[in-house]
Amino acid sequence: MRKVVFPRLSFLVLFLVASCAGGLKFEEQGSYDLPGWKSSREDDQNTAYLPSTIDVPNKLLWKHDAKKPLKASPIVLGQTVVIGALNKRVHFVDALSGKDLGVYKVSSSISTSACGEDGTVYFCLDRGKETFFALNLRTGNILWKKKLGNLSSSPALCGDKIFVGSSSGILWALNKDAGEKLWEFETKASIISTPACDGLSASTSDERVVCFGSTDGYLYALNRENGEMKWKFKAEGAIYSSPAIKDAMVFFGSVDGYLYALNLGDGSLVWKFKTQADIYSSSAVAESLVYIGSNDYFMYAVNQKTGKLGWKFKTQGLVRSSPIAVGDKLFFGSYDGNFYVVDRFTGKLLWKYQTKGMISSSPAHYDGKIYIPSEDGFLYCFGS
Amino acid sequence: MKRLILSIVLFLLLSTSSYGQYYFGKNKVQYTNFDWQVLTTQHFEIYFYTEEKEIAQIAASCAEESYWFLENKFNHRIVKKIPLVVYSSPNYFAQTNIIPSLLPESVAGFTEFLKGRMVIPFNGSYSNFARVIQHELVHAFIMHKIPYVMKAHQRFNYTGLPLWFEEGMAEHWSREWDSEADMMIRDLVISGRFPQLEDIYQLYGTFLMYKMGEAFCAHLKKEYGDDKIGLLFENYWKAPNFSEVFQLTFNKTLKEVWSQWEYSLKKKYFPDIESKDLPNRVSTQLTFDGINIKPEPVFLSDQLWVVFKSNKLGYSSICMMSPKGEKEKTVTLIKGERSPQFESLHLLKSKIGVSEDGMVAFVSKSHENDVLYVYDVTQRKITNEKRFGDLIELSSPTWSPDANQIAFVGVAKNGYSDLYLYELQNRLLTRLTNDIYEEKAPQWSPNGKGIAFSSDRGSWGEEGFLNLFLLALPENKITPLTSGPHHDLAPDWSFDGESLVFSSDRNGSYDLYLLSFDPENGSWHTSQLTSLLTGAFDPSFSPDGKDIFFTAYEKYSFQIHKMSLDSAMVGFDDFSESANLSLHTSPSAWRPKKTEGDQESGSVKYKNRFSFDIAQSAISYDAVYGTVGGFQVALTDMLGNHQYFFLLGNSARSSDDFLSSFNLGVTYINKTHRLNYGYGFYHLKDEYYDEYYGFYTERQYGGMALASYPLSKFKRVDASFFLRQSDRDVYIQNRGRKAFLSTNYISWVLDTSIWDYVGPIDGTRFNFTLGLTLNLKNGKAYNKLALFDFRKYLRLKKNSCYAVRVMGFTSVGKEPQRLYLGGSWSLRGYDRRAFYGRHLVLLNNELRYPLIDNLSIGFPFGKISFHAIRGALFFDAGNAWEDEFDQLYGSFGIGARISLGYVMVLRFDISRTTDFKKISRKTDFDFFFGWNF
Repeated sequence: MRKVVFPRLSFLVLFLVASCAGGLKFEEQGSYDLPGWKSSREDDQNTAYLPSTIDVPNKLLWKHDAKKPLKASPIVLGQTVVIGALNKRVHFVDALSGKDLGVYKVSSSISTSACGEDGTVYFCLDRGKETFFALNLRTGNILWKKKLGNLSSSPALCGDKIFVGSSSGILWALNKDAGEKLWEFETKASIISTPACDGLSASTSDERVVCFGSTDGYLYALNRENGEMKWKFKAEGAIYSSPAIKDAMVFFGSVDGYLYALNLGDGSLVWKFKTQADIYSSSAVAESLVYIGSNDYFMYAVNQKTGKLGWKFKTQGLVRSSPIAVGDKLFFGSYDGNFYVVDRFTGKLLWKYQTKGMISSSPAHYDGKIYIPSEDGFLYCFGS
Repeated sequence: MKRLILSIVLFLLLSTSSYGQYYFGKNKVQYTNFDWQVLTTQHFEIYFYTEEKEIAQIAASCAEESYWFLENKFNHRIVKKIPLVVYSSPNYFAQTNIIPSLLPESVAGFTEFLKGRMVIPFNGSYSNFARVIQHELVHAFIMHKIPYVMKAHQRFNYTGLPLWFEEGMAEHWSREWDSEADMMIRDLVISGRFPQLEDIYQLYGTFLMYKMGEAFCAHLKKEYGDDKIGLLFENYWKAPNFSEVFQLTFNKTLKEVWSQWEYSLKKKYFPDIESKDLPNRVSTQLTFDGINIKPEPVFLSDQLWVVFKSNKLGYSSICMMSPKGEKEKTVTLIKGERSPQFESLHLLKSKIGVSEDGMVAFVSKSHENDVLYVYDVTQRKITNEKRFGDLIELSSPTWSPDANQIAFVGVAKNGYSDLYLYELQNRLLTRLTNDIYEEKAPQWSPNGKGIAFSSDRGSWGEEGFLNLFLLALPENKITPLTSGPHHDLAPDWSFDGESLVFSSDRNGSYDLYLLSFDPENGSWHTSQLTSLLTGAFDPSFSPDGKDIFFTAYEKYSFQIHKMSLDSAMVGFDDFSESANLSLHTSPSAWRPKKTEGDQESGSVKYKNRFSFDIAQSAISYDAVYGTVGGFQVALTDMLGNHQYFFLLGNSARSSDDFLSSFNLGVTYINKTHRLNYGYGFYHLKDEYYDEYYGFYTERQYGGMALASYPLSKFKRVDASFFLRQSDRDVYIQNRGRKAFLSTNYISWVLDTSIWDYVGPIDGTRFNFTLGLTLNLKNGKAYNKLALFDFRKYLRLKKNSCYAVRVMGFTSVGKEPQRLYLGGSWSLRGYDRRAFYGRHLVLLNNELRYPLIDNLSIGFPFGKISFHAIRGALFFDAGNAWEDEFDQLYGSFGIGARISLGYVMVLRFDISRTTDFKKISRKTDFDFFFGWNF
């Protein structure tokens, strides 16, 4: 009899422990005002570029086991790496040691990236009743949460607003403090692309815009204040790639295989660059080059002004991972399981590291270290 | 002893043994000894035999290209190398042991789920080969992608894609939308037979289902983008079934999109009615039932006849009919698929050749290879037959004008499809072409100086387009007759040799065209003869040149039509085919891509590597059969030639019995050669019950050897030998015994049956078994048995037949075998196991007929549909007895058999019994699951 009862009791105890996981509190990890990596594409414009110098991160410093594949990209706030996982948890990891700081349990898998600033993390779910969350990183408590339907894009934080797209094709604009809905804009298909906002100094007009792609094949530019459409541009395929804005130009890829460059002012085509397969990767824009991965296994560097090929680098798998540029180096992953470091001016391979899963998400940078998740379930941290 | 045999048989069956030689059943014969090699590429392990190395290298190139394409579509990487088994011919492919069942000729390849093996034959067409590889690779990606997504999201209960969608997707992502698919969908829309979503199951397993799915996916691509089909897999974890996943992905229900699709098809196709015609409107339909194709008109005794191929009753056959149609007069000349001589007439693939004096040249699979036959219509007999040792497949024979030679397409062991010429008098074979290009439907010119044929050797061939060519004799010089990105098929010469009629999809659908030579300016002109809403194929001039007989597609059927050439002209193309040729044609301009494989590994000799096929645990107990099942494991090699089966179970009733009550078994089966054999060891102990002994325990252990030698697809000899210790403990009577026995069985098995939805409907089945068990301690016979089971199915109409079974069994000796009789499968109207004894006779008579087709019953939650309900009118007689036969017991009644989706049949019988003196007043109602006898 005893043998029968004992496992049932064990199960009950484990269940109670697991149920408490959602309310964990975190120790404050440094100041959240420090520069980190606040979104998967780093800044409002989604350029994914930091000019600071970095050595080749040719050493695995630590890896954190999330138990299930990681498809989202990490962000770094203060000294905390935040990443959602398919095991229905947001993981909080110490950026220096890889120590597990805690998890926040949610009702569904997370495959989109978070964003945040000032100690607040914003993240969303693709399924569930409440799908958008603002979490206080200092306390581990939820500040507010919203029922916005199934959300399919990573949220973007622009000034006092948050933009996030849904599976049903709606772009929501929320007030970042309380999550109030400010306006909504409907497209004809899922929005997976992370919106980009024009920087104050880069805008060519008085209006400030938010740009995003939809899988209905259009790139939209909306007035950030009221959601009024400023222009839209039709690509020849769906847009999963997040747009990046630099020097009054918008760069994005499409499943038609093209990397597009548009004029931010009126949405007119400046140039387009053909790759040999669908583009799901988002671009990084650094100085005169635009970087983007393609399902044709290549990472491309294209001249920002002319659309001419600078260099291309071949991996052994699909490059859905979006690159980031730090200093003179470019970092990205590939479906071949490798994390690549290349010279961003020449495309020369500087270092690579083989993980045991496909890499579909993009890296993050903090203090000379690169963080990249793999679908083998580990978050890797590389440094020199 | 019956338990022993049953235990072994059940063990083999439950282990999914493909030692398919079980009582009845047709045979998969291993005629050919293959020397297997393995070619390794970046993503594939390609299994091939030495003779087809070039085909394997082409397969490697196609597979890698397809992988790259599909990896992009699925956004998924398959980490393990994918096994791809390549055969150089469909006839060799039919011998594969990778799946146990017989492969219908229509199967162009398959992907199985146990080891993820893709198995594909080369059928002569490079482009088709590439398409099939890509089609099967779609299945391989789906098999990897869905479990990957579900596991990542910790979802373990899910259903797969609906078959129509998965196959449609595989078609969609492996080929461009083509005229054939367009023809089939247009026909559905124009004829008003377009199925609703809830009725799609009625098409399951048909080619039309593939095309419906393909067209649906093409619609999704057009309206939503191909990426959304890929997105569907990313979303698979989000909902419990396909319909909901679909709705999440497309933001519309499947039904809404289906309706939207149907509307768009109507908008697309209805305007065609303005400019195109249904075949019936411009020609006379001569045949109506089944599939009737490839007409060849001929004058015999001053009377015109049309020789053609047909599958009117399920079997393929060669028939002859009056030019007024099959209703006037039809004669069956050759009956295919029921004898080793005419195992398959290659209904769709091969034309027939008819000489002016009524000699019909045709090909049929017979044992390992195809054989060329000549049939004399006047004498009604085969006058010549020739098997070419090096040619595996033959098709489309055509007579020389003097009827001394026959040209045909032959496929060698290396997979090359080439033109050959056979001289009947001196039995000399000459090869006319020798290359990788596909040749089809040769037709000898009336002057004997050339052979027109269809081939992919032109500059458009790499994309799969077939154009017409002329092989000049005796120079063997090939010149193009047509060229372009379209299919020009089945040319037939006019009797003056000045023009050719052929089928082409150059204007988007398959129509008939006339290619005429203009001697004034030395050029060829093409004129269009038909403009059909559906399609026209296999044209053939009447001997007087006034009419054209052809095959038309309509309402998902191919039928033979006749059209007057005078009324046929619908337009004359003003372009010169010659000018077209000079612009585009460069014969033999392309070569298929090949890859040598990984530089490191290259190709190496195949070695057996065993892996699990099945590991399962299932146990049930039956008082008669004892404990059935246990923990079962099957291990096989990559080619399925070597198979191990393991069984582990325990039938202990108390802890004391535990050690002695293990049921263990190990069996090895070798299917490499024509003689299949196996051996194994076992230990079985269980409690049983029978009417004679009551409850008893029997422990048996020993070894066994099995062998099966197929004489053809239809006949075989099975033999088995058991050497065992048998200890029996009978509870009630003190009749226990210990014996060291050897049991030997030998069986002769025949099966030519073909089945409809609920069981056999045509053909013959026969099993004659002799058994002898010896007590090895004293050398005396322990028992002897003889079994005779004959079943004949006499076809009355397409879906009806008279079925009869005559069965006899007798067993003598110290411990004879005994059988039960009674119940739905044997003597109806009586209880199951109503009779029991060592002698048995049984006679079943049954009239099988169609009762209801496509019955749908509505319920508040939806509807349940039954594809086929068949009726039965039966009369049975039989008895089983121990020593003295007393009398025959009989029964009669009616029944219904409901097909439950190809996997099960529900039987319902109402019957009354009789002792042949009076009829019982009690009516017996019996429900049972099982196929007709």
